[in-house]
Amino acid sequence: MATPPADIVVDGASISYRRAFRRRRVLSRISMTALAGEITAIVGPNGAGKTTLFRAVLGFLPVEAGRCLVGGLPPMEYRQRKGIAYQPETIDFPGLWNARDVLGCGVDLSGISKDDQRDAYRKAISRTRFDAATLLRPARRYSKGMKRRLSLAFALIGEPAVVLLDEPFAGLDPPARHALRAEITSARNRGATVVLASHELGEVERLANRAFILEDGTIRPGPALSPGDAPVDTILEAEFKGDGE
Amino acid sequence: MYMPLSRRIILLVRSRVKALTLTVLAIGIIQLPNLVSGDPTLLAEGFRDIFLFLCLVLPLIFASGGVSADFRSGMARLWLQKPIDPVRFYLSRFSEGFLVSLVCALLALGATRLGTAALGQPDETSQLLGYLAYVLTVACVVFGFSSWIARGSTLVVIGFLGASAAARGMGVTDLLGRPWNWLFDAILVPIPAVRGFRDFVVGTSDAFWIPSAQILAYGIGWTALGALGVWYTVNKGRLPHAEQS
Repeated sequence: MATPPADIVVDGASISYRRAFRRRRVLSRISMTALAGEITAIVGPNGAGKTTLFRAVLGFLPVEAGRCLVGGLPPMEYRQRKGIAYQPETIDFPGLWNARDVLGCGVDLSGISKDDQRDAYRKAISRTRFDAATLLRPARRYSKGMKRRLSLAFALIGEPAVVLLDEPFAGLDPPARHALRAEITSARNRGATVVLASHELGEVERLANRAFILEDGTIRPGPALSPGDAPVDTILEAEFKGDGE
Repeated sequence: MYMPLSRRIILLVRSRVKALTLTVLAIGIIQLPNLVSGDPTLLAEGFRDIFLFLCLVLPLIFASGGVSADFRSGMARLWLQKPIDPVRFYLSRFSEGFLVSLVCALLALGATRLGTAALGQPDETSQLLGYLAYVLTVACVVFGFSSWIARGSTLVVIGFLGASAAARGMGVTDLLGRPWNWLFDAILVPIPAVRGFRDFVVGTSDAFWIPSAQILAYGIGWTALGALGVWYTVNKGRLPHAEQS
């Protein structure tokens, strides 16, 4: 089921939003690389452009200068061929759809062979850690944390080689955080390219192999991280405050 | 299939039950004078008018929001992270809405037939069958607008249908000279073609191909516009902001 590893290369990319006749540049000539088998973190203040960067990597937003490649292909092409796991920060599930409907649709859309679909569906259901009653409740009535668990389970169907997580720890209780850490580490261990955008510096330091600081539309590499044994909220917090420069 | 077509259609119908009930009630109130008159001829006329209204309204209920609601809520980003072609995906969603509208219109036709038969009125089924062409044309218009306009597309379609009927009634397509006449004729809902098709079904005209081709070309034109809207919105950075970080 797993697809071959795919690095993400962003090289001198500039990205703007166009509204009516105005153009607003959000990211300016940024360069970064996220390697397969590693967890790359993007940290930065609100509105820094982390989601914008994800949208470009997903191929939903064109890069106006420079280039952005996923697995050596333009993002839109890669996404349509292999799929990119993406957990958005917020989501409104449709009408009366419950978790089983959403995940069932995910299995149908993921291009998984018929033989593997049953396992993929079961795995996705177990990833949510919902009880039977919750699985049948309309997903739009879930709490924020439950919606995030569902969207993560949906994203990971088919074990995509590229995993983008936007503020994955927001709204999660401690057991859910623990489970999420395990999912992220497991994705890295199977060779996926994991990129997470987060404000939670402690989690970033605990998990990430490398970090980038996104601020004022530009990006710079963060300090070297040693996942697993880093002290919580220290190295990156200093970078965030500008003390690291 | 873990999310079979039947389940998707059940969810679609269930999510629109309120809108459908309100619509039928509203049409019933408008037709109340005919329905309470006690005159079988007026009663049969009331049934026929309700059917005609439903042919126009059913696609608005079942096909509208299929694209725009996904774009607005952020669900588009969830579905389209999977290895699928966005245009094909939304065309299939549109087909489901159209299919449900058509089946409901056929059920309404059956009910109209039973009602008029019970009143001892002449069978007008063949004439009403011709009006089913409106289901196709309105559904295609809905898809065309819904993929370009994220908010309020249903109101825009209602306005467009009203403007079409008014413009045709005023003879706008004969007033302005070429190429405007031709342009308006191509854009406005092809009411003369639907009437021509109905006349063929009733047996008062031999012309089948010309009205049928006009209706089909109109439907294909709006569907193509809708498909272009999906492609442009997804790939050119026009997906609305559901979240930002």
